[in-house]
Amino acid sequence: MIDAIVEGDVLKAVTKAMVALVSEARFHFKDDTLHSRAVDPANVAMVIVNVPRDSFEVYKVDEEKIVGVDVNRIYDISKSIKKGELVELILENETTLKVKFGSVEYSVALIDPSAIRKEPKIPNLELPAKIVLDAGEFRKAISAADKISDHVIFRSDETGFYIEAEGDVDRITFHMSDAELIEFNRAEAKSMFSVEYLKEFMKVAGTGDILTIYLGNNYPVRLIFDVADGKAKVEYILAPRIEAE
Amino acid sequence: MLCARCKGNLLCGRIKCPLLEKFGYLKKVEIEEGNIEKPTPPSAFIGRIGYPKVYAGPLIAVNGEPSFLDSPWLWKGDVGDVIKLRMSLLRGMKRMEVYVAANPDRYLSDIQEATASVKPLDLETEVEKVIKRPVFDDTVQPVGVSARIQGLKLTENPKIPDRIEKVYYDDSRAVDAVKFLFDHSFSTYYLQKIFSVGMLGETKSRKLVPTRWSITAIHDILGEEIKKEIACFESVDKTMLFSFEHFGNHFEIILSPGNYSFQLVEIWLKKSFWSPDTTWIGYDREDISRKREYSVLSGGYYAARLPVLEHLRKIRRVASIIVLREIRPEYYAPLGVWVVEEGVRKAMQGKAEIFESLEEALTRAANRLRTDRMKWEIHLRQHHQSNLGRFFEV
Repeated sequence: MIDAIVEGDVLKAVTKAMVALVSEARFHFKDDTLHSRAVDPANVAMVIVNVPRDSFEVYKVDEEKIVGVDVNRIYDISKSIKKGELVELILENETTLKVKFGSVEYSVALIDPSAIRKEPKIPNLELPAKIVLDAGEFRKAISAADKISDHVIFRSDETGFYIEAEGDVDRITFHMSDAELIEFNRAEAKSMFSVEYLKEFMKVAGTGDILTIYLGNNYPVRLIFDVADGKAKVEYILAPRIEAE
Repeated sequence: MLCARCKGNLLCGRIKCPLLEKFGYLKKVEIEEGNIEKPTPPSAFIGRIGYPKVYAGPLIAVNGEPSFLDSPWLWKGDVGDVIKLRMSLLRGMKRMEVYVAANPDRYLSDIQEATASVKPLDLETEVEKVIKRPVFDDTVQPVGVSARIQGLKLTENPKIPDRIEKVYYDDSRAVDAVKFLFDHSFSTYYLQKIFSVGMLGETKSRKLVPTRWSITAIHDILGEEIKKEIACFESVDKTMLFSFEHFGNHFEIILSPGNYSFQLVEIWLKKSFWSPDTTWIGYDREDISRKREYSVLSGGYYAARLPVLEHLRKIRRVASIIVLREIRPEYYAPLGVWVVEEGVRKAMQGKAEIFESLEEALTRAANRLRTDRMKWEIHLRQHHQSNLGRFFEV
């Protein structure tokens, strides 16, 4: 039996983070965290979600459990939770998850976890540059880039962090210097990424949320968002676009 | 150049497409009104005008060998030969709500049975009135005259494959049914027809699908499904060039080492069908992730992609794909996207020329095209999406 009570925003953020890449996922109710991770069908990006026990109002897990979830369904349901409202997740058997908030109770059928694609291993990546900024700023930069191109370059050197996009006739440069960034190690790195993916990722975060970027050279990037008032952590790992050989 | 982009969709604001209209001179086939007993290839045609109330009915072979009339993969010769051939097909029309497929009436279930039949089938059709000139379209193969019909009767029992019966009575999603049947060797043409007459998908949400849409839907569904299958394969290890030409459509297809990407350059030479006055060059591309927006090159894009994906699945490899399609003045009437599908498929069945580099393959391809290399090469993308498997074990 599992009984967990958490702010609706947390459930919303977590399911929104997953639906950016997959429609079904395994959720692990561990002793100390609610965890999920998955790779999209094209193997281009990975999402890793963690909600620590402390972020819950109530977190009773008699026995650690893995459940298969139709994340689209839960995300849809969570959209109708009012801001600040609490939501209760109850798992009494293997087949149904109850989602209660306000005066409604949804019983959602679970999916056999073995029918869902096996979870990826979490890689240990060595990425030289670390950049910490307001996710709202990042969001603005990606929206602007999206208007002129389907790919962007992330670049960092001692002068700051850059997001650059080039269209047929125009170009956009977004620049934040050391002083404007929350944290920055001034390391050199540069990789190119698809705007289509970034656009999906940035939907999880808003102004005031903190984003940590680990960037390498023609290498996958790690984007770690602290969302729902820091109660949940959403990490994306995205493969770069690379020059034709 | 607007026409080459629009392909008869009336983006210009005219009521009729002047390019399509010029085929109005084609003589109407004389059809007597009243009962006729003629075979269907088998095939059906679902219109798109008036959706969701559309004209639906069987295609009837007035003369000629019925199954040949609807077997594009067998056609040879020039554009005129195909037009002549297809003018022998009468399109039966009866107004129907597309939703009737969720609960087919007698007329529709007869059409469904006839369409799913493995060989030509005699139909008794009550022709009320011959009403329209031939149909030309960039996606659909040409069709002769149309006639309003009252009803029809199957005069023999159709033979329907067991697997079709199975998916018909199953409640599986259309995507799964299409993929299942394709993997069991049903052709895209057959799938398109049974999809169009509303035989696939969850029973309560079945609909008639206009022929034009169903063709691209099948190409798109299968393309995206095969992409998922090949995503984890290793890359080809050398650059290969395939080439084929028919009906004034010249194809050059390059597979080069790298992650999956697909690029199509479409060149409409001056005086080719959709571009009478200038040469028009269009371009579209994608990576391994699902193509979200409908291609600016419309149905031809999905028709060109599928046979290359079939080939990659067969050799269990991925590749960076470039397809160059040059359409020449000999293509003076639109024949439908099967020209692209079969052209690319036949190219892929041929022997590949092997090159050391992409540059050499492009040079060879450029030699066979009439368009200046500078003009089309600027469209090609030099970088592509990688996948995580390239960097660590996923």
